[in-house]
Amino acid sequence: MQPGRPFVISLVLLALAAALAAALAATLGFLHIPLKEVGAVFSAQLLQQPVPADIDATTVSVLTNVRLPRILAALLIGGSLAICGAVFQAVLLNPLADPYTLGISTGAAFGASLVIVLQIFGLALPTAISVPVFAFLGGMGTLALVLYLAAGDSRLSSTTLILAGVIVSAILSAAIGFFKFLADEQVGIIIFWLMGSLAGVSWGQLQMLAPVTLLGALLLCTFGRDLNIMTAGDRAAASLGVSTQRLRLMLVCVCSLLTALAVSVSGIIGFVGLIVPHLLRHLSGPDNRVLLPYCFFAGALLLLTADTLTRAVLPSEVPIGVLTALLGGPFFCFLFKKRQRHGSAF
Amino acid sequence: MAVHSEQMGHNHAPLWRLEEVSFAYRDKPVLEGINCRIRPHRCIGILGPNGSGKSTLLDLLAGLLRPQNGQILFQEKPLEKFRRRDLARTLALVPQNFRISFDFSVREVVEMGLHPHLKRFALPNAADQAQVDAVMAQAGILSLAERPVTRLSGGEQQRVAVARALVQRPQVLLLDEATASLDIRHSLALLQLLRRQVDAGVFSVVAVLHDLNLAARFCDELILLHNGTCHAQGPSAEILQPRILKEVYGVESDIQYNLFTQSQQVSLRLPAVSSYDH
Repeated sequence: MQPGRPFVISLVLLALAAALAAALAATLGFLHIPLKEVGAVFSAQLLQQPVPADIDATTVSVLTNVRLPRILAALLIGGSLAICGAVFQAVLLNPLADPYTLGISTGAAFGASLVIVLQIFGLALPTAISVPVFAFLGGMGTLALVLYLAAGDSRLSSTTLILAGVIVSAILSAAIGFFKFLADEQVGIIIFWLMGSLAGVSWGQLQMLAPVTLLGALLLCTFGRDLNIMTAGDRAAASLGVSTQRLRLMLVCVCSLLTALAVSVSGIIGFVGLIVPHLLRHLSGPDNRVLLPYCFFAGALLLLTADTLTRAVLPSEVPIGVLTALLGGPFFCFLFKKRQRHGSAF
Repeated sequence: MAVHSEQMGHNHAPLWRLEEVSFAYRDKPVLEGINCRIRPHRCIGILGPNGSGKSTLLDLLAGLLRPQNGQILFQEKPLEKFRRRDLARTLALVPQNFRISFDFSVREVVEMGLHPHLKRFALPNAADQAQVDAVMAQAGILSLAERPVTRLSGGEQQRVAVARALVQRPQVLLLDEATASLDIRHSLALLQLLRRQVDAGVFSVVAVLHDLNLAARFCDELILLHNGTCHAQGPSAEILQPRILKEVYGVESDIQYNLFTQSQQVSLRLPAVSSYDH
């Protein structure tokens, strides 16, 4: 599929679906709020006008301070993880790559929990800045280590890369386990990072997440054609005028930044970056010019749906990372098995 | 054929001029002190035993690798002064193992050859599309256009790679054992297609080849590499001699002009003692 009119139409439809899902998600929860009131509150907020007097103050507070930031975070993080997954897959020529299977998410969680442990031991670090920064450093460091471990294999084959990711993740998980031990009574905060949850997202966190994610995703979308060409391998891509090494480094850094930022807000949410690009490739083909924008909106829609399920539909809240891993893990097994049967055909 | 390109060939400045070019991977020297000129409007074959540095030489010519020592001039200008994108409009490379990891259709892969000619967000226009179709027809893959490239046989994928390079509208086409995974008929068809384009002055060809007879038949000039040095360079008929082949490959050969193919025919015989014995 080429970026043409059908692409634009389906992209707009997907964006509308995400917006509709966001509005519906706002109505659901412990306190049921009619769609009409949700609309009234949001439009009043957007237009900077006073909220109509007939709406309860609790309703307004629940909507604007609790549900809205959480919904926006779900959309942004879902989109960000999905688009990063698609980019990692194209850059590493590996349909099984994603921030979770490569260990970047775990690395970022390691960085984030390190900050918490350091704080417990009396090191005064500003949480708002240091958690995302340490998460980024942890994510990048992990990626560098994974790539170094897999580098003996010149084409970075799936198995080597994923194996390296699993090894590094295992070590980091053990380190995080030790942090949990050290954290003692405050262990809950670290567990939060391991299981992943969008509960308690604040506007403050969104101030950083929203602009970086949107800009990052937009930037990634502009490299669709280069990514297509890179799937033919370094030599072929370089002879077509794509500076593969520089571009790969740049794209991997942008994706690690986006992943780390997502992890610093929500903890580890796995498999979104694997499932969304894979399903979309079946629908639209592998052309990254259309795949990346689709991934952003579809990932946003998926994570919002999953988060609304755990928040409002299931009897008690399951951490979203646990849910995506429980659903995505078997899907990953299926892909892995299918890949063995069909060779590299994806 | 050779006569034809001789007539077109003179008075042209060399495409490449290599001066004392050396290249090593880490500490392992691959090419040492290569001096040669490659002239335009010809089909030039690079021959040599395994590990003699053929692919490395091709990558150096394509600007994908930089020599540690010496200088490569392309069109009288140092190769490293060219921007990668500008180079891609002039030089196209068909790599040895062309594999794509995702299910792009054949047409999508061939269209990738337009990349250096298209603006960042531009889509191929009608003329570009027509060129893509024409090239796919030339390469005999038009009927495969909508098939996913990962499901094709090795030979079909190789023809897709050639088509993609042709769409690049290069002045020089570099091929790394492009006929390796093709059957006899497709090898001949591909080389004939390239030969015609060279004769028509569309582009020049520099091809790494293994088959001495194909080289004799389709190449005007040969560069024979041996142990990382340029052992011999010149018109095919001068290079393909029993003495030279013995020096480079260690095999006995009988070379005769074949009226049927109108080129030299190389017959090979291993020496009495097997070369694996020492």
